[in-house]
Amino acid sequence: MNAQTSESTQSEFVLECHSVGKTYGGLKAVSDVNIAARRGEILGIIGPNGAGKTTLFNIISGHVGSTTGTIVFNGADVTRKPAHTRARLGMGRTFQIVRPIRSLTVLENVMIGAFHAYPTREAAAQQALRVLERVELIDRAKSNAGDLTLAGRKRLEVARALAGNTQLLLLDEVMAGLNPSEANLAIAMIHRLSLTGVSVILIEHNLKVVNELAQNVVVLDHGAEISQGSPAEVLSDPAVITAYLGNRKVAK
Amino acid sequence: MKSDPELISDETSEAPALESAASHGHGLRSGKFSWLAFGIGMVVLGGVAALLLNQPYYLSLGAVGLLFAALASAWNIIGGYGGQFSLAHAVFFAVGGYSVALTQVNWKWAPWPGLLLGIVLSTILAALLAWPLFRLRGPFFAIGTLALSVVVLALVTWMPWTGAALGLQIPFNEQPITSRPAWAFIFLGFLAVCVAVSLVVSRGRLGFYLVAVRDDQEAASAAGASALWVKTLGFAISAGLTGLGGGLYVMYLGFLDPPTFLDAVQIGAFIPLCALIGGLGTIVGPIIGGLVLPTLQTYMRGAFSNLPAGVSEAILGLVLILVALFFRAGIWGWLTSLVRRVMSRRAKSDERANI
Ligand SMILES: Nc1ncnc2c1ncn2[C@@H]1O[C@H](COP(=O)(O)OP(=O)(O)OP(=O)(O)O)[C@@H](O)[C@H]1O
Ligand SMILES: [Mg+2]
Repeated sequence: MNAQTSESTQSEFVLECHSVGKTYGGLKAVSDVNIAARRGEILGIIGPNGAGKTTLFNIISGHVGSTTGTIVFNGADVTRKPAHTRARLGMGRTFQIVRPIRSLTVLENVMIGAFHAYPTREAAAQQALRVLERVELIDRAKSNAGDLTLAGRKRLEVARALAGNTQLLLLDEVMAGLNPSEANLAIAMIHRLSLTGVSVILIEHNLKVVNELAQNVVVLDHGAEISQGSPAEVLSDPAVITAYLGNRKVAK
Repeated sequence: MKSDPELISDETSEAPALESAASHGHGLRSGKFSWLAFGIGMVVLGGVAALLLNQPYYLSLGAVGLLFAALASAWNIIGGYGGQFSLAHAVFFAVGGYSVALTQVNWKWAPWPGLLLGIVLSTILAALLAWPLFRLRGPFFAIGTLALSVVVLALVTWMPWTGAALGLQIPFNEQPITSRPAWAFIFLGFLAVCVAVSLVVSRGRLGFYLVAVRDDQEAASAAGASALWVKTLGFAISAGLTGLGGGLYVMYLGFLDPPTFLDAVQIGAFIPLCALIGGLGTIVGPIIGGLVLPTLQTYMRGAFSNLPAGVSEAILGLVLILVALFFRAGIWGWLTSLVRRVMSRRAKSDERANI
């Protein structure tokens, strides 16, 4: 029976959030959010500052316990599973504020992400090199992680999140702070990763990026999901326009 | 593949270079030749011990130095790589000591099974204590382990079956190894064991995870490392080795009393201090610290013996504070960054010469 349920979901959704909520004191950072990411798609999450996007990621990855709701990953309920278990199941995430392990090299940082799937030092190093190739950071493999530029550190986050045979990649504003040419390279990279079959959920402030990459978009405002659909549908939704205008963050 | 010019843009500014030099000492850079270096290092230390065979005073100084080098290496697994500043290692040291002494005095065991018992008990105790202790993070963990060590000292001093405050005496004719020179080599063997375990741990998955958890627990968990499990494993391995050290130390001394094994300063803080002074999170650092610090302490006690009691301790304390302030990566970290700076300066002047 179990196999059946997981198989039926296997075909369609890699991740489902059912009425997920989180309150901090009296503040509803995320309230009653329902999203589902299809296998292989790029799902965009947009919303003004403080909308609850990062909190939603923290709930999905297990870094923050949700107050309400359930998280289903690959057909299995992972709501009560700790973050490291979700990572081992194939969920990889980046942090909006990059978190390199500063006393390690770039290669060693990526090995940290690979070890749960490749337990020996040699296998983890091989896998890390393959991933560094994919994110085009191979030239800096031997550098100290702390010495990278911001663009490099963002790539390192992606590489570490990708290294453990990841099926679902959660990217939290990996393009914020990059100059336009760096951002274009990052867009191309995410597009390439998606073509290899990795499912991606992408938090992004830049609507142009979302428009370019995502097949589906979820819009959060004040913790609630206010719109959902294709980029074109969502960006013309009056509720979305008000939310962004209300927050003086107009789409360019 | 084509490389991204934005990403390989060089950082020639001074600040990141200095930062990286400092952080180098805390990484896992044990190169391809680390086992070779390990072998050579042990042979050199053995050679020095052999040269001192006719110098009983220096040989016994060396023996204690080797013991503390080993204990500092063992502590460094959880304290240096893992960044968990345990002040409870005196407890594991005592568990090892009491395992040997109690079984020998009460049940006439030979010391060898007692040593094994000490390793097993201290490992299990650490694993059990890990669960409550690692709910505490950073300085709170250190304070928790300190409190534990103080409580255990009080308990042991009070309980009659541990010999209470008097401790235990192992009859001379039941001590299998009484030759002082032999002990220098036994402690060298113990050091070899601790360093070998450190090498295996630091080069493998556990070592990477320990460093990751030390530097950023959230990032480590996102990468699949269970912080609690990683710390527990590191703590237990470190404690098991420390228990072995305690058992050997009882055999060496021939007696045991609570302050000698459980003093929060002389053992509990002194072992971490050796690792700190030598260089945390490195293989070589704790060896240097362990060899230098006890020797320095003994030397200062002798040199300042005409001054009031405590003056030599105060001076030593001052030296330690200065080292902690100005050589934050320890003696070894300072040496390696010095070498690196000289090499990079030479490389730069070579470059200039080429232009
Ligand atoms: N640990 C916390 N404790 C208390 N409040 C929090 C905490 N984390 C987030 N919040 C609050 O929850 C709300 C949502 O924050 P969140 O970081 O999820 O927003 P966001 O959509 O990612 O914003 P941004 O676009 O600025 O990254 C904010 O009001 C924030 O102040
Ligand atoms: Mg955010």
